[in-house]
Amino acid sequence: MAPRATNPAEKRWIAGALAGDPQEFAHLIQAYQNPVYNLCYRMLGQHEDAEDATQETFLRAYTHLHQYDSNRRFLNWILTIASHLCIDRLRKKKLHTLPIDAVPAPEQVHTNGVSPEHIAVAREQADEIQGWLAQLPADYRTAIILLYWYGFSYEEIAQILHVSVPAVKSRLHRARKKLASLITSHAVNIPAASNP
Amino acid sequence: MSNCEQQLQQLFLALDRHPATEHAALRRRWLAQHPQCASLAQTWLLMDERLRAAPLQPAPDALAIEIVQAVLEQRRHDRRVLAGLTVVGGVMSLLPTLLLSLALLIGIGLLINPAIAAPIIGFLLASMRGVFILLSLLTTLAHTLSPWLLPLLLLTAGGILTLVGLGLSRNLSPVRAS
Repeated sequence: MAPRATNPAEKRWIAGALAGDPQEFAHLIQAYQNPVYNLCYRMLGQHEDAEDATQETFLRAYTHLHQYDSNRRFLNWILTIASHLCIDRLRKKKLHTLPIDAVPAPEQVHTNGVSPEHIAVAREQADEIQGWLAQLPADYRTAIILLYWYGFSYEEIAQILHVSVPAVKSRLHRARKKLASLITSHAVNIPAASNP
Repeated sequence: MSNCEQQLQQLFLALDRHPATEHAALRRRWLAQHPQCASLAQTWLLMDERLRAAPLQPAPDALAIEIVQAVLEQRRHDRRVLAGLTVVGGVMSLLPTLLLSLALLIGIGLLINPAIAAPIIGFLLASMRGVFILLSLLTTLAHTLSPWLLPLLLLTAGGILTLVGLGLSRNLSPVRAS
């Protein structure tokens, strides 16, 4: 995960990029490519689309860097750009919900020193999660991704999505309800977990 | 929203570290009395656990390089656009100055010897007509209505283009600053 707060090095990179040094912006790309890519992949479900959206996100960030508010975390700012870009793309492609039998792109699973069985299970679980996400409308999907993969508070999600906190609560609740109904209706095999 | 859904929402508000309106103990007691809802809560919690455990999907290795190249290309493109606008705006801003100077010279010539200035005006009008049709029309119009109309139009156009250039350069922050 990328740094959660704007640190001195990051401030230096931003100032350097604003002064016209692309090398400084390259540091920001290096630091934030994973969170941006993850969001785009979780939203769009295809690696090619995610790469394209990630690139577009950084280009937009570069062009509008002078509009960045230094009081805000850079991660939140760039994920705001990425979220809206992905929602726009989904709306344009009318991919709010994929067909029930749509198969998302296989997720890349780290294989370093892990047995093939574990890799297969991990890949299956990852694909399953991506399949769940693909069934959600774009707005709900973004809220779920920002909550679970980035650990953002409701207030931060509201700021990123430009909606109110009650709207975030509502979206998350509806998204969870939808996900739970998908799990129940498709009898997904979930391993036993601890009690609440 | 059903009573069960309300309980689930409260349960997840607490899990998301958001202040819940109901106390956890009360909620647990309520769920214990409603096994169907408790079963649903289990499904929700299992889903929640799976989502929380899902790893971050890393970007492909070569992506950062591709993005840097795209940014550099964007930077070059922005600079070309800015340079073009600067040249066009500059020329458009310079034209009125030249025309005003010319008008001044013609005015002085007319005062000294009207016979000498007249052929110069004719030559200028013919040249403009030949090179720029649009400019020629404007010149004719200017000649008919007012000798100041053409310089004023060019000055306005130059000013607008300069403002557009400045406005665009504000959006191209890294380019502007460099």
